[in-house]
Amino acid sequence: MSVRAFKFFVVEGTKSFFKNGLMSVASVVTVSMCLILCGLYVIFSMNLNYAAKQVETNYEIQLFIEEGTSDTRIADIGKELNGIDNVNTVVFVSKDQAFNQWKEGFKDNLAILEGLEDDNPLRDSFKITLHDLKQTESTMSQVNNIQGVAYVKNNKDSIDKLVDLTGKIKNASFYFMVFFALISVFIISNTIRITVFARRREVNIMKFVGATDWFIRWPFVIEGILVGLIGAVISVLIVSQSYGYFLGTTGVLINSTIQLYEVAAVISPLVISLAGMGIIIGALGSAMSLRRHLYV
Amino acid sequence: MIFFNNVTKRYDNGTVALDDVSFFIDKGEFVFIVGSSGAGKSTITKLILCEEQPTGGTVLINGINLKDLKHREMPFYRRQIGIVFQDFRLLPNKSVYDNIAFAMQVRNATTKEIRRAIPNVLSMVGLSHKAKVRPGQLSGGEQQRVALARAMVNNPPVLIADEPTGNLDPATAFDIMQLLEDINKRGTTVLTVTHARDIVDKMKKRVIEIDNGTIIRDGVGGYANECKSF
Ligand SMILES: Nc1ncnc2c1ncn2[C@@H]1O[C@H](COP(=O)(O)OP(=O)(O)OP(=O)(O)O)[C@@H](O)[C@H]1O
Ligand SMILES: [Mg+2]
Repeated sequence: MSVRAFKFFVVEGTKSFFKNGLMSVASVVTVSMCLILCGLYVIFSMNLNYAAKQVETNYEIQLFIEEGTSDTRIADIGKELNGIDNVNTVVFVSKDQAFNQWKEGFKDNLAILEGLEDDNPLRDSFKITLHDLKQTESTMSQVNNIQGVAYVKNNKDSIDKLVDLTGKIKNASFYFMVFFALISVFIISNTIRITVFARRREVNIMKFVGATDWFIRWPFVIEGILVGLIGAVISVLIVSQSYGYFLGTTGVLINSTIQLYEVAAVISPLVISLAGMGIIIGALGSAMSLRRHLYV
Repeated sequence: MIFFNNVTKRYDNGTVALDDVSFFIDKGEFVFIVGSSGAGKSTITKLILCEEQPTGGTVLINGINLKDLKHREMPFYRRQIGIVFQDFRLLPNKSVYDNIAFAMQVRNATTKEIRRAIPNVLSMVGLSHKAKVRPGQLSGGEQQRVALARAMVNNPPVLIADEPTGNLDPATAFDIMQLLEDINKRGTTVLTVTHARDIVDKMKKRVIEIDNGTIIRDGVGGYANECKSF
């Protein structure tokens, strides 16, 4: 396509966008509604991933040391743990520290702990975190083989369930999104089809003065892209504003356990994905609805 | 070269618009097609432009059997033919200037070429002062002349004019016919459909007369006169 032709198509497409005022508004509204849902999905899945990651990295495994293990042996166990590839961090918790933490928990009811001070029932332990949760199984067998480790407290099952659940939610919402995007393309191409139908005579005339299909199609496609881009701008604004509002009101609740992305962090993925989708939906919608009228 | 060989056209509703029509128009000829309303004249132009397909026989234009034209070849074929439609078919949202420019833009003419050619054709049809006006604001005769300007702007080898003077006063009509004759003298094959009896009589060109879908006369001279048969 020459620069001259490109300029011609852009001018024609833009003119026609403004000329078809009401239909353009209708198309923009439809596209925006679709893109808002897509945007919500983008934010939802980003945060779901983020949360899963946090759960993974914060996931601790606690190893209790056998009673009467010497301090040097304990130090060696620490070294051995550090030597395992999949182990990320290793923290030693002495039984006195554990007891003090315990005491914190019973602050209001210290009587219960009376008499236990001198005969601490707790054990020394290590808390470790892993690089890759999927290899928990093999790492655990390595840890269990270390001499002096009495037993390992591991919530792998519940973590597995959580990771599995987030995966399922993501899948389900993805299929829902695809389904909805298809419906939107259908609605949009119908909206555009009405404008194309109103202009079928024009298309017909163009064919008879020797215009190729693409010469006729490009202005429509550019008009569709314009609709998609404006829809993208509107939906990015609405989605990011609503997300900011959501964070402002409920963010505190969630903040203590799991962090969500800041608004600033989701803007560029939103812009990229929604603009991309808008362009594709708009361009496809108009190119598709023209088809029938080009065969004269 | 335009060659109709035993062409029949039956529309979907059963109307037979052309019944076994044959004629040959050589390169550089000037031919009138005359006949009463509904005789099948516009059907001939529609077949030439591939707006309709014949239901029988073959149409050959410049050696191309129109039946063999592929969809993607169609635009390039149509650019060989300048046409003035009976119903003008101007783009309603474009000015007179842009309507004519569009016929040049489809073949990727430069802005410079367009700027040079359009004032020229507009003055030929006497509409220089209407360049910026939309077709909706023109009289029927003016629209007709815009359509003619658009048809001739690319100097096509074949020019077809379906009733190019239908809405014109006798003086303007005569000017337009004169213009068509000039175009013909430059080598363009011209096919003119008309009801203007006096002009046809005066111009002494080949006349094909159609009645009810068949050719009843094909010869030189006005259709009211005796004529030399081909
Ligand atoms: N699209 C169509 N569908 C069905 N019948 C048609 C169609 N177009 C034309 N006809 C019929 O075919 C016949 C010839 O029509 P055509 O337009 O060729 O006539 P014409 O000679 O150009 O007449 P006029 O001088 O009034 O323009 C007419 O009887 C008309 O009703
Ligand atoms: Mg006619």
